[in-house]
Amino acid sequence: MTVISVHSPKGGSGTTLIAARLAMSFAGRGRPVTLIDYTRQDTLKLHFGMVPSQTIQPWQGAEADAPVIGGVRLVKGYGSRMAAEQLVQDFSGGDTSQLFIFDISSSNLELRHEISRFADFNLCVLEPSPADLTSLTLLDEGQSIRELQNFGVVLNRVDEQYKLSRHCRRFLAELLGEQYFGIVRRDEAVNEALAQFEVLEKFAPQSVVLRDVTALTNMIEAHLKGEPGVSTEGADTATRRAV
Amino acid sequence: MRNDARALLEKLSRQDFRYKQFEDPYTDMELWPVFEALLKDERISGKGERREEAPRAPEPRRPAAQARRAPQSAKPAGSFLGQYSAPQPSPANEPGRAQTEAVDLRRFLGKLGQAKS
Ligand SMILES: Nc1ncnc2c1ncn2[C@@H]1O[C@H](COP(=O)(O)OP(=O)(O)OP(=O)(O)O)[C@@H](O)[C@H]1O
Ligand SMILES: [Mg+2]
Repeated sequence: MTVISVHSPKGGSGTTLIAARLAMSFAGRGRPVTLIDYTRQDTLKLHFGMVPSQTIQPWQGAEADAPVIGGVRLVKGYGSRMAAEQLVQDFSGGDTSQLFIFDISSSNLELRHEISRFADFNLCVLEPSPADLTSLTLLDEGQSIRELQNFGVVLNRVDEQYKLSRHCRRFLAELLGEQYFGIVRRDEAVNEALAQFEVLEKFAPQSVVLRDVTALTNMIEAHLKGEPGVSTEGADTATRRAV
Repeated sequence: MRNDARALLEKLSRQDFRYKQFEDPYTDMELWPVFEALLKDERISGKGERREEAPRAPEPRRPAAQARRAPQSAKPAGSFLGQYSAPQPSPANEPGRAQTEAVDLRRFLGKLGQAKS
């Protein structure tokens, strides 16, 4: 059983998108994936082609729904009476190949902390902006960012035509070393797919977001296997390595 | 031209785009004050220790995952760092450490300036 948390100290940086894409990416590699939505927005489902009127009830043990779409089981953690760890126990049923991914609200630092105690990897999603970088300072009260274990940062919505976007990327790569997990570029196809109630693979199979998330998945897999990091250049290098 | 760009142009069957690849020449790297401030913030880089030598607490669940490469040693600062004088004391840092931090900052920025893209 493997647990990955996805969180950002800054709202709106793409946590939900990354959590959804990672879940589909791991599921595509044959892993049974459970994706647990701990946000209030109820937008995670859109990435799976669900429509706004389709709701998933908070998981309360028996008799709640947890649809499986594209190999990913969707569970609503927000509003559930059960603790996150208990939820994982409920669903794993002793199956060690199970992967659990948590989408955690930016403001819920308490939950982030609680889950980080049993998570195998904690992914932090940032955008290349001064506000996002600054929000890192308040991520953890006890430890500095560089001291955090099983922790990585992915830079989302990177747009290389902007100078600051390029510079933030280089800065983070150098600052974080092996805690840097590369980039996911900005692609408006992400929103267009949501507007069509379609999954991204179907709507825009060429999307750079799909390629970048594949590279990110490779890096996370390597980390989970205990392989040393590939490079401070992150996902780009992982892509090259995977070819 | 990169493959994804070519694929996109073909998909759109448009000829009226100008292709430009935004490679980052080393001289392009700017020293934004926010980078400097974060670099000196101990909530990011840790207390006192130099970034490259920060020890890690024992890993509770996955010791093997933490087999981390020894960091490459920093190269001397590039010429563009001349604009940096000793850093100003910031709320997150006591003034007494300003001197060591100035050195670390220069080392860091030197690496940044020389990092391969
Ligand atoms: N790489 C990307 N390219 C294009 N659009 C993106 C990308 N990543 C996220 N978006 C869009 O940005 C918006 C915010 O993304 P998302 O909802 O995933 O952020 P979030 O961090 O989960 O926000 P919140 O803090 O509210 O939970 C959404 O409209 C999403 O579709
Ligand atoms: Mg969200």
